[in-house]
Amino acid sequence: MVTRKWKICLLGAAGVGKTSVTRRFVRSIFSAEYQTTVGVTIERKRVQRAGVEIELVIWDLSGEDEFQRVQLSYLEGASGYLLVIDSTRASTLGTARTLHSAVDGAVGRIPFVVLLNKSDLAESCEVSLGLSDPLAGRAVRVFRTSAKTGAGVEAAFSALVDAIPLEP
Amino acid sequence: MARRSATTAGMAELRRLIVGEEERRVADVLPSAVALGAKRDKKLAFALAPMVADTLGDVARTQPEKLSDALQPIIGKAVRKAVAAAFAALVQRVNLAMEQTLSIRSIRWRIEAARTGRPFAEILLLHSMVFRVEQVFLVHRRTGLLLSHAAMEPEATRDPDQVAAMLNVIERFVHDAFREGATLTRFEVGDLVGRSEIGAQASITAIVRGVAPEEELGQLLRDALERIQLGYGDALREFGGDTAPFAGAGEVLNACLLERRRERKRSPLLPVTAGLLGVALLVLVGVLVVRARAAEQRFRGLERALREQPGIVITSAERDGQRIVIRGLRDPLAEDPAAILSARGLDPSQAVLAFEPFYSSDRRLVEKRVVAALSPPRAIGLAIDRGTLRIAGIAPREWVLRARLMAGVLPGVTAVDTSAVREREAVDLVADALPRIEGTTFFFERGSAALASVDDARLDALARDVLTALTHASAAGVRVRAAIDGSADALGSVEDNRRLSLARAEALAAALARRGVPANALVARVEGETASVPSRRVVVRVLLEGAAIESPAGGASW
Ligand SMILES: Nc1nc2c(ncn2[C@@H]2O[C@H](COP(=O)(O)OP(=O)(O)OP(=O)(O)O)[C@@H](O)[C@H]2O)c(=O)[nH]1
Ligand SMILES: [Mg+2]
Repeated sequence: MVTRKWKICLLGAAGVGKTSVTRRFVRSIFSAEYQTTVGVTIERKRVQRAGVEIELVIWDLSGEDEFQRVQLSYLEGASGYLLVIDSTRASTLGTARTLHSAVDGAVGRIPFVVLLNKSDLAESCEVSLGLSDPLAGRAVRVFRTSAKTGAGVEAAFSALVDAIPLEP
Repeated sequence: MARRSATTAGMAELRRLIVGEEERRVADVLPSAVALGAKRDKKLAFALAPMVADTLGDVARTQPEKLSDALQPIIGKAVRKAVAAAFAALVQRVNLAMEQTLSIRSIRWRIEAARTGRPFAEILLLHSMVFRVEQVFLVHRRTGLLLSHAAMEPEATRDPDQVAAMLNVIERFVHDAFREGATLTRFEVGDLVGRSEIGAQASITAIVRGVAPEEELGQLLRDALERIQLGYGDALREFGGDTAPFAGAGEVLNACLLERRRERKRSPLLPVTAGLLGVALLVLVGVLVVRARAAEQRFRGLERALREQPGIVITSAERDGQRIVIRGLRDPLAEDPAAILSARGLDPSQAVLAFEPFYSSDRRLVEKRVVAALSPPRAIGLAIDRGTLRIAGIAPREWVLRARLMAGVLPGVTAVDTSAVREREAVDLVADALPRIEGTTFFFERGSAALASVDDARLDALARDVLTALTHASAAGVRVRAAIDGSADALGSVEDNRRLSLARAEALAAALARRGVPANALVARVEGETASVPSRRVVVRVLLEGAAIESPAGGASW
């Protein structure tokens, strides 16, 4: 059996749900409590892709806010990343755009998916991404996700994994 | 300058040959020619030296990383060899000093063994373990991914991939925080030490228990890292997630899983000193053993006392040196274990007493619980008999009703028997009525058994009192009847007088019955012959069965 080990990062503004999305994906749990990530938390999950066993080492980074920049060196060596936006807070889209171009500059073009998270709070939805949006154009795909219900989470990770080349 | 000119001539010749038509043929023979030349003498090497130097200079300028990657394994080894020799003497001295403190240490361990109650051998083993490399991680620096991992106890190892990434995070953090080639080579986690060697592409981290000699461990890790960089240089540079090429690295890591125990060396001290030390040791151990035994006995005594306490269940009792750890269950109404400790001369602050609350079904605890819940009045006695709560005595009606309801739901009480309870209010009513009934007398005309109509009011009052007493008798815990004794004067025959006496008594009974008093509560009788003063009358007397009505039953029994 062919095996691979890939480093995947979660990136986005503070409180958009990076940790929640990771937990939902790795352990199928959700908590409404908010405990901000300090530095980075490492999670791990094994997935299959057409006869290839892939060990994902997931780096859940602390979010970017006015007090703290994302440590871009943590993205070095990543095979891909999930760019998370809180669909109830328009400002987190701006942060996502900034982060995306910063990553491009620091580690180059690597596959990424965009997550419009907290989709379960549809009534207070502020963010949408048109197809013509440059961020949507560059992303593998854009997903509406909810860490709370689990909607779209598995699909987002799976699309990212599919977009990563087996041979570098 | 002879060498210089020879070189120039050689280079010219070489260039002529290469540029010529026989290019291909020369290329074929060149490698073997070079090899042959190198074998014969150093001429060729001298000839090539400047060219190689130039090339190296270029590479150093344009691709410094490549050069340092290539040189690190070679230069590192050479430099360290020289330094190691210089250090060897110093290390030797340090080792010697360590060994000499050993005998003094072993006394300390004996004391520790006596104090903790652990076997001496175990303490010795623990302390004589110099160090043990428990795990080794080979981590790809750029991605932070684990390439290979070795562990002494693989089954006890938790998620090495995660640990590898965290090690990488720390490495990055240190680098970002302090810049300029800062690396983290040593850190501590609890009683474990992490020791890293960081190479250009990969880092190797050993997790060590105990104190490993820095020089030895460092050397071990550097050697391992060098071997890996030499063997897997390309794979490391091109790594994109496929760890298969690093399968062989496990061997190298396994070789780092060292364990070193302290050798048992003969004491360097003189035999006499050793003998004296031995005697002192024996005395010391003796004293400690006696003290340890006394402490052990005190502890066992305490455990027994606690086990005997109603409402306390001990699930575990341990002693770790001075510290006592007792766990179990305790009824909230049971004795306070801390107080029991104090009473036995032990210091509760030195102990961990972890008791979960529970309801004990021990009779003594159930009794306490009942008393606490019902707060019985003084005139009430309570007793538990195989789960049945028997309540006896006098209490206000309200309390009795409440007690009957509550007692049923108390843990440890399965049934309530209130048949011996007397209601305070009923007792008072009966006690009030009886004296008014007792001795009530009605007089008759000579030869007549008809009650005078002037007595109607007194008859009504009497009937009321008798009815009151009868109504509340059962709640008051007594049986009440009224005896009506009839009598006649001394005139006439004895037989006539007997008949008349009974007729008079029956007349009163009938009068009371007409006023609602049940007939079976009335007893019409003839006043005994002994009546001192014969007269034409009837006297009412109370017939009481059951407990005395005035004095309350004894107080609560506990
Ligand atoms: N309703 C809803 N709440 C969510 C969802 N995802 C996250 N949350 C909540 O949003 C808050 C922040 O979530 P986190 O996952 O901690 O966010 P984060 O991006 O990791 O935050 P930082 O680590 O501080 O950058 C928490 O209270 C979560 O419960 C979602 O899909 N739906
Ligand atoms: Mg987080």
